[in-house]
Amino acid sequence: MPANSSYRSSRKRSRNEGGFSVLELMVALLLFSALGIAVWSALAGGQNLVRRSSSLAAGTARLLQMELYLRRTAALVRTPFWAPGPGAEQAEGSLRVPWLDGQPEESLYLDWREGRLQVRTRKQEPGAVFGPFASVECGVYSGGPGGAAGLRVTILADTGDGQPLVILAPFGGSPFAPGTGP
Amino acid sequence: MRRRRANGFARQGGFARHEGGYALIDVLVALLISSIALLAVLGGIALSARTARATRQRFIQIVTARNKDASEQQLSFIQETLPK
Repeated sequence: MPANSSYRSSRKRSRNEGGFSVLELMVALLLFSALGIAVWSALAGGQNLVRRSSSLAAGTARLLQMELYLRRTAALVRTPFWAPGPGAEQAEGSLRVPWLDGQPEESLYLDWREGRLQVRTRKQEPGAVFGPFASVECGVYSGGPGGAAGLRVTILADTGDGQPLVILAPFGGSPFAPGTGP
Repeated sequence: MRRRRANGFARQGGFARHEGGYALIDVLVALLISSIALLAVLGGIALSARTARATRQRFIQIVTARNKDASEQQLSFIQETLPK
């Protein structure tokens, strides 16, 4: 009998010290599974955030390039002061603005379709193409309080908050002076 | 020679840590280190995302200011801008 008791106590001690029980292993597996799922979801969210951030940064860079190009190109249109306006011709998906470089026979061409905007200073040349965007709309604004006129480009970008971005690119030519009136 | 070296190693407590039952604290330390590394990685990603969003907002502010400037421009002729 004492030998049996000694055997039991030694077996109990060895079971506690020798390793883990099935229940302990299952609890450990449960904890590590929960931890793994949390880490996995955090990494997946981080990867999604990286994708969206890089897309947003690239879209912002494209928009910035296009905005600078539009302003620089629109400033090349120089309407003479005796003309009532630039005399732009707008059709479905295209806009032609004469008086490029102050020459009535030279024109600035804007074509937009399928979310892409093509800006050309010569009709035969490919020019610059921007996009793709969700939507592009072009026109001419004029009749402001100071008589300013220029290109009006409305863009709905794929990346961003969904608000349309309006770019007003004033024409050059006649001396535009901010804050000075007759 | 080999046995003597092994005995000496055991006497110095070479595997004592594994035999003494420190598994839980090992796991906890590993979890702490990995969670700090994960937080650092996710923090960097969040910071870069915030920078990208701020860049877009700054760009929209610049475009808005330039649009306001363009629409408020006044057309005047050279003769009118000359000093009298």
